[in-house]
Amino acid sequence: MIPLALCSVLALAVVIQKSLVLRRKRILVPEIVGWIEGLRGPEEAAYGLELCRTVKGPLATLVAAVLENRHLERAEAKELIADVGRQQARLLERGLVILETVAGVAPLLGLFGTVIGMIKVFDIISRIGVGQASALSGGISEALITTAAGLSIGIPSLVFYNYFASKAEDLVSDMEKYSSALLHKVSAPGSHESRGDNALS
Amino acid sequence: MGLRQDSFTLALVVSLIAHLLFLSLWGATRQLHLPAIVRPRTAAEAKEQEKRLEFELVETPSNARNELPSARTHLLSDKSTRARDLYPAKDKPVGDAYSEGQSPYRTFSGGLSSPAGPESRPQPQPQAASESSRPAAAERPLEPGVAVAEEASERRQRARFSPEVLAAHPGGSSRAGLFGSDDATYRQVTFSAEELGGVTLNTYAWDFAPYVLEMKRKIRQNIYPPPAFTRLGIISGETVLRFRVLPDGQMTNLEVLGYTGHPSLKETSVVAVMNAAPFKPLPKSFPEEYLELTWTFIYSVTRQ
Repeated sequence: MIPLALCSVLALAVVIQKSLVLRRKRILVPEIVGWIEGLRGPEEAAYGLELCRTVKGPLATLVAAVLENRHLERAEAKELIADVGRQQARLLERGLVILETVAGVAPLLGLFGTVIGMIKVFDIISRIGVGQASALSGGISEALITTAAGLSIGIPSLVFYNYFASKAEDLVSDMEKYSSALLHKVSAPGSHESRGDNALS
Repeated sequence: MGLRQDSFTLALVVSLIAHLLFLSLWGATRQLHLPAIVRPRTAAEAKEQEKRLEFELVETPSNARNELPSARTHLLSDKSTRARDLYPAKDKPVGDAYSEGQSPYRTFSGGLSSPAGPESRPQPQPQAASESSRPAAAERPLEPGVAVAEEASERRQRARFSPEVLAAHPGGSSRAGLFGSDDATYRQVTFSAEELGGVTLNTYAWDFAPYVLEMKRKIRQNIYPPPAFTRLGIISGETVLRFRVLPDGQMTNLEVLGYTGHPSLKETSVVAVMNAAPFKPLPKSFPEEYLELTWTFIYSVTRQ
């Protein structure tokens, strides 16, 4: 039960942290998004840089990287901000691997506990026979509790893992969209690389 | 980065607190809810529950000692009733623990010279055990009011003998001609109630018969010998236990007076009594400070 309790504590910690971190307004800061959408040309980049220094977050970091490298060739700039974006995406997805591991391991740990419990029960049976219903039912009940605990930790963990993974992916996709739009608006004129490349991929 | 680690540490602490809170609340809830659920139930259903479990204390008529109990009674009151069958022997004196009757079991009765109990009935009683214990049960009251409690074999070897084998058995008694009969019931001239197997418990005092009957039922429900006895029939034994029942029904002073055979059967007997306790409170009219009972648990395997 102790490993299961640890799994439960870890999983809940990750869920709490991700619930706080992966808020849409926290990642896609409305000030930056509004500024990008209202941006008319490269001449407003200075204000954007100032904005990114005051507002922290993955999008601000990405936007700052785009603005600081706007004078580079588009291909070079895209490659650079793709690196930055990958780092930010990794930060967004950090911790989800714990949730995924707990989701996979908790039921197995529960099953393991049940097997050990059943071994004890059969040991009792070998000593006093199958008749002592109270002795046997206690052991079996204890054994089954571990499976129940494992499943009750594993199932929510899996649900939350899928939810947060999907949410992080959505956010990364939006960050990618905004950084591409920004790069398009502030990049030096004359660069004509293909526009279909994925900035963060 | 540092901020993220801080947030994770914070989340970890929150998670830990949440778990501790959940555990403490869960424990508190279990403690709080249990009486909350049980109390009204006991209050509302106490009488009904009591009624359901209540055994009927039959008032002893002044001339009860001189009259025969009802032939149809299911209460074990004295050795006449204990051995009573549907067809009591008219020529036997009252008090003998046998009678003439019919039984669906192809079993035997009579003396020790009869073949040992065949396997064609679910819970056969070994002849030697039943014969040797019967006089003891009938003649050896240990406490005033309550005589000897006796546990006969609970689980038996499964049927392995066909009627043909029985019929052909050379050790059959003078009633061996009945063995080959197609009749579903078998007439037994000297029928022993103890051959029905299970627990036989008797008391000479009619007043407490329902109590000991209830006690017998409860202890019998808790007898679960190991498969080595019930299925394989490779172990056997006999355990003599003694314990006291206090007026409130609590069981104390459980001791093993002795046992023979396999120790697991001793453990079976001890656990059966321990699991059956506490019993019903003793009848108010019980004359002693406690009821002391001596039980003999006989686990014997009968084989040809």
